[in-house]
Amino acid sequence: MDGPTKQLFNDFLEEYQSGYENELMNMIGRLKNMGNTNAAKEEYFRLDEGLDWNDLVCALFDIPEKFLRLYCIRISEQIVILGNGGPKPKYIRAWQDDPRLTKEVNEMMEYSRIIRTKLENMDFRITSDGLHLEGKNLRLI
Amino acid sequence: MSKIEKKHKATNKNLLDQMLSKITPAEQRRIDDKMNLAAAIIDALKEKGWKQKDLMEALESSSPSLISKYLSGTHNFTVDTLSDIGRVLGVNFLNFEFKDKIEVLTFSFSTHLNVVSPSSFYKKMPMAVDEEGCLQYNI
Repeated sequence: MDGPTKQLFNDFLEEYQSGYENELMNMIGRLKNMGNTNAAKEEYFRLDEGLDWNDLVCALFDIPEKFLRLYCIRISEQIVILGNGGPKPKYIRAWQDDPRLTKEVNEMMEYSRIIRTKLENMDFRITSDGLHLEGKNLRLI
Repeated sequence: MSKIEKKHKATNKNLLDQMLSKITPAEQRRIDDKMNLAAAIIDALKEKGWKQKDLMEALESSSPSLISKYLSGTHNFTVDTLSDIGRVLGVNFLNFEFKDKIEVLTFSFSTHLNVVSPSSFYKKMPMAVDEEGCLQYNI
């Protein structure tokens, strides 16, 4: 397919691996635990980060005293789409106060809207085992 | 999948794999323990039909954000907190199992029998047991 593809989570790792390595490793360790053992329980996330009610946009819960935030689309306990994010120091009370975080959340809200529409139209569907999202042309951008 | 997409996928996997390999077993264990503990508390809440608000009230806390932290999989609990949460949920999160140690001690000793003349032997034989359980010899 023509054109560049965007790999949000990879971009997030690349951008923050030097300044926030410990935070990233903790995030990845937790995601590994979710994948292997406990699934993506909603309590592990800060839900309702987006502006629309039930838009599935959330953030992985911040480590105490660490200030890197990762935004996701949590479709179910078994399916989470990892996005991008950025630093959220204590003086920033909400993502709306920071241009970078605003950009990332807006992007996730847009992808979430597309996914939810495609799920409603049956262009996307969740497999019967609940583990995969499948459909024609899974590219969102 | 196009060549560009395949290349991207390989690069992504490499970076993620690199970061995964940097997590030490000790660090992953700490992460897993915190996540598993949170999951156990979440399960106990569901079992009891409680919401987070019920747990907050039972713990006599006025901080919903504190309860969220407890369930987030990131919190480093104190023993006191786990004890309190366990008490109100009726679950023991501090479940120690001590396996009983059974030590078998084997004593061996040899007995020596001094052979004495028959007359002296009979003289020293116990004839009775007194009230205190001591052997009485007829000397």
